[in-house]
Amino acid sequence: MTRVLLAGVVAAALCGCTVVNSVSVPARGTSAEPFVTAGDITEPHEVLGLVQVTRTGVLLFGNLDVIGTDLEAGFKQALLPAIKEAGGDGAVRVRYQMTQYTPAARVLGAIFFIFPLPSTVTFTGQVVKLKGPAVAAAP
Amino acid sequence: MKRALTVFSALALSLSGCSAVTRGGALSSVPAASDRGMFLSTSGAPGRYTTLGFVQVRGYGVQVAGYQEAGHATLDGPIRGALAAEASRMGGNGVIHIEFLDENPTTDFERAQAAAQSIQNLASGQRGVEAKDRYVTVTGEVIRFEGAVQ
Amino acid sequence: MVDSPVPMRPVAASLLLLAGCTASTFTRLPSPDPIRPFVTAEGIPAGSPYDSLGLVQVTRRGVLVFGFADPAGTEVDAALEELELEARKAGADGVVNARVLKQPWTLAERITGAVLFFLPLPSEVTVTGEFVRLRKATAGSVP
Repeated sequence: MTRVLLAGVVAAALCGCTVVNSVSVPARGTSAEPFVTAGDITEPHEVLGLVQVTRTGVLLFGNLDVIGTDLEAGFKQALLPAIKEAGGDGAVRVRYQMTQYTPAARVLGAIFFIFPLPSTVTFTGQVVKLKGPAVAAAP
Repeated sequence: MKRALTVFSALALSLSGCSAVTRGGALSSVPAASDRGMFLSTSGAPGRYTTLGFVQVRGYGVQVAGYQEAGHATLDGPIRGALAAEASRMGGNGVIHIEFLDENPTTDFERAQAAAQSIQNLASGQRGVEAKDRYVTVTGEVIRFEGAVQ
Repeated sequence: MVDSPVPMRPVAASLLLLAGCTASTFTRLPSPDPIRPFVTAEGIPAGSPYDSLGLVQVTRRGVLVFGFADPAGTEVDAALEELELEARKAGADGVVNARVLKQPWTLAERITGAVLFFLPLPSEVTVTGEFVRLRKATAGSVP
C-alpha cells in the first residue's frame, strides 16, 4: 500500500510543475453571447452593477468534477447567465479564481477517495449595457 | 548582559526578516522592441485586439533548506512558460491584464531558520533537509492583436 | 435599585460582536512627487510608451501583540514603503497595476487577541505590481 502510494505520488510529481486551466470565449460580434473582458471598454455604456458568481463542488476520486468548478463551467454556466439575467451586454474588469490541485494532490485524492477534494471557481466583474448601435468588432 | 544581547539580536533578526520580496523578469515594453513573440503585460493592450479567452496557471515547486528552489514556483516560469504556451495554443499572440500571486513567500528569517534546521538535522542524522511546498498563481486574458503589435 | 428591563450584558455583547464583524482598511497613496516612485492601481494609458522592468511582490509577515501592537509592520503603508524602496533599487519611475491583499482583523478579534495575549494574532500584507520606466513620448504620439 505504501509503495503504491509512493509510486502514484512520484508519477504525479514527474508530470510537470504547472497546472493550466483555460476557457475560450467567442470573439465580440461573432456571437449573441455577452462579451467578457478583464479590461475596460471605450464604447459608451451604462454600468448595471457588479456581479460575483461562484460554483462550489468536490472532485470525486481526485479528478471527477461532477458539478463543474473549472473556468469553462464557471464562465458558461454561471457568469454568462448572470450577465443575461442582469440585462447586460457584457462584463468588464472581470477577475476569476479557481481551485487548482497539483497532480500529486489529485493522486492522493483518488487514493483517499472517501475524502473528496473541495473545488471552487469564482468570477467577479462589472455588468455593462452598451449605448447606441451594437459594436461589430473588438475595441 | 550576554543574555540581553542574545534576546536583542533574536528580536532584531526576527523583526527585520519579516518581509519577503519576490521578483519577476521584465514583461513587454511599449512600443515593443520587435513584434515577434508573445506580448505580456499587466496593463491593457497597446492596440486593437480580440479577446480569445482567459487562463489561470498554478506553478508549484519545493524550497529546500530555505534557499534552493526546485520546480516552477517562480513568477517567470509560469508566465513565460505555461501561460505563454497556453495562449499560443489558443491562437493568441498576447496576454494582458496579467495578475499574479506568490502564495507562500519565505521571509529572510524563515529562510535562515530552515537552513539552520537543515544543518542541524544533517549533523544529527535525523529527518533530513527542511522542504517547503511553494505555489504561484497567475491569471491573464489571452488576446490576438488586429494588425502588428505597436 | 430598579433592574433594567433590557438585559444589558447580552445587548452589549451583541453590539460588540456586530461592531466587530466588519474590518476595513484604507491607506492613502503618496501624492505624485517627481522624486519618489509613483504607485498606482491603474495601468499605463493606452499608447503611452514605457519599459517594463519586471514584476514585484512584497509580503510582510508578523504578529499582532496584544491584538493591536504591530511591531513587525504588517500594515499596507509599511508594504508600500518597502515597494518604493524596491522600485528605487530597480531604477523604476513607478509601480503600476498595484494590488493589495490584506486580511484585516475585526475589532472583536483584536480584543480577543488582547485578552488572550499569549496567543498573538498572525498578520500579513501582500502588495504586487509591475515596475515601469516611462519613456518620453515622441512628437505626434499619444502622451
